[in-house]
Amino acid sequence: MKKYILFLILAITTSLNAQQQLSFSFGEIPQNLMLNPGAETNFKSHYGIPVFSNFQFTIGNTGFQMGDLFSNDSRSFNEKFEKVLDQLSPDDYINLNTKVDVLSFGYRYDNKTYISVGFYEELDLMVYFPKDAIEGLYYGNDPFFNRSFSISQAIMKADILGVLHAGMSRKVDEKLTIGGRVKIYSSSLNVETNNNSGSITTTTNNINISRLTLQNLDAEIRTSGIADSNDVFSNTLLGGNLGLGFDVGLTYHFSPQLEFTGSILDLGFIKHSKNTRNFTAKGNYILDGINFEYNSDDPLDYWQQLEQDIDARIPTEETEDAYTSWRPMKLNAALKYSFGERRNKLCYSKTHKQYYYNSIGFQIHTIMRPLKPQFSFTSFYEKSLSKKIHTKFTHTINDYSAAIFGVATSLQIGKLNIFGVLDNILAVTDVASANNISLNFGFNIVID
Amino acid sequence: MKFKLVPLQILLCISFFISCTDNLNFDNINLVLEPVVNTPIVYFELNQNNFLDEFNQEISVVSDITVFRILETTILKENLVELKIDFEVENGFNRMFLINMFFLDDDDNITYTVDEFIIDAGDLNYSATRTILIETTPEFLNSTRFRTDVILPPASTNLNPAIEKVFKFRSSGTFYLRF
Repeated sequence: MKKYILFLILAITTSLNAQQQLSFSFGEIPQNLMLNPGAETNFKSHYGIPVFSNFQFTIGNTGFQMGDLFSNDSRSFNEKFEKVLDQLSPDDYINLNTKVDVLSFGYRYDNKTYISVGFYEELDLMVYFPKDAIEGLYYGNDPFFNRSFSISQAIMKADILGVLHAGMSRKVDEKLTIGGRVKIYSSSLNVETNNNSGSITTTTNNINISRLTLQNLDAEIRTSGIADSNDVFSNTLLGGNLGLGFDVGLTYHFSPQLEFTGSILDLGFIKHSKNTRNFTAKGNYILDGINFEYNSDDPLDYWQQLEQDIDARIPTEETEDAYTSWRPMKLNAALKYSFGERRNKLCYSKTHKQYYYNSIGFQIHTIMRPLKPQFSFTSFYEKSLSKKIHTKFTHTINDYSAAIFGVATSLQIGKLNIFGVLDNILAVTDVASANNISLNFGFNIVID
Repeated sequence: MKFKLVPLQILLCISFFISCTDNLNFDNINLVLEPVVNTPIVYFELNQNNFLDEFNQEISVVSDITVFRILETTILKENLVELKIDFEVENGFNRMFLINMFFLDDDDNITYTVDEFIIDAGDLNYSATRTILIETTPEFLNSTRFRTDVILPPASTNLNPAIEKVFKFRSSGTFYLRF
């Protein structure tokens, strides 16, 4: 028993750098159905421990490592910040994602069909570093005469939503299992800006010493839920802006040893019509300063003239128009070859499933993001230590790093299933070199 | 089972216990922003007709004034450290000029006087810089207006309305901020 308790503690504490995607196509955990609704299930039913059946927190950025900003050395924070700013690219981003399964349970309808339903809350923030804007704010425009500061680098998307879902996994034959899931999204907060254009340039010229040129500005920020931010969490319970989405997935055995799994998640949208507030600005403007005309007979209000001119040339608008936002679609696929010792497992309804103690393979994971897809490639080795304990060792290449090594574990103690994923072992041993930190664990009651 | 678990436990224990954050310091986060922002201010072009009245008598002073509201913004009011103003003048007249500039508040009180410029006759490359330190001149932050007086001192050579002369004035401000 002590052994299991130790294992439980380790599974929780060491999952501090997990990525949920590592558990795709892994082991016997019910939450695999959330990553692949066509995953094979070998249990009769499952009941997630409310709030703790699947808890995930991830924060990562591609632009710098923790040590770049917070290293314990004699350099000032400004020196570190300037070095980080210098190495940033407009493609770099920061991503924060939290997902909590509030309710989750599943039930085997018949020998071929497994139904699962649940509700989870999700917070997702994706912000690309607008390098030009950050440098402009930090240094000002004076050191950058003739440099064009781009406005198109302003790209971000933030969502807080609740997701009510119901899915079904159906075993077609011995080789193929397919599945799908319907999701009803309830967005309580959305802020997004993308596809902006324009630039600001400071130059010298003959009219005045300096000139500010705003060229081809076309910017838009869409928001919903900002005006009603007191009800952010209650609105996730179907009280917010609603949307519809689908997950689909499959598992296919080319042979008893070769298995392919794939899924498409969050193929859906949210229609924002309540509490919307959108802002747009378009136009061109050249500022040479105020031109004194020395006309004492008809003195001008230059400042008012300037303000009116700016308003006329760069019209801004605030609307409450409805808009549609697309969910960030995810693609998962894995190919797994099993080998080694072969065992039988007693499953639901006294059927038996054969499985191997070892397998190797690779998997890909892609999220559609505003600027470009976020891609990762993982090769893995799976080892079942017993019928109740499964492990997975991985190496991942993604936007954050090319050397991310991970371990996933799934443990069954009686009817309690515990899973945890430790991704990026190197970052655990050296937090200063980490680009991302995440936490993922879950507790579920699983009835075989 | 006992032996199978041992390697995994060791691996996880090692990962957990050697996790290292000693080389990070979160107490020294003190980011100071010191942007330097350049913006054009006032420019103008005067010719001989600006200094002659309807009877072709010389006008000794021409003035103009503008309201400016940028110092009313909290960001500038609370974070402006220094303002450097650059001036460039092309004097195509064969007469010298004096330029006086004043920053004023809403009640026409002078909040800052720019030192007088003396532009020699025919000087096409006059340039000057004036620096306003907020620490020593905090009343400057109450400025809402900017006035320039261009003075044509009397001289033995009179202006000829038939001969075109041009006086060009340009200025830009460099705002040193600290957050």
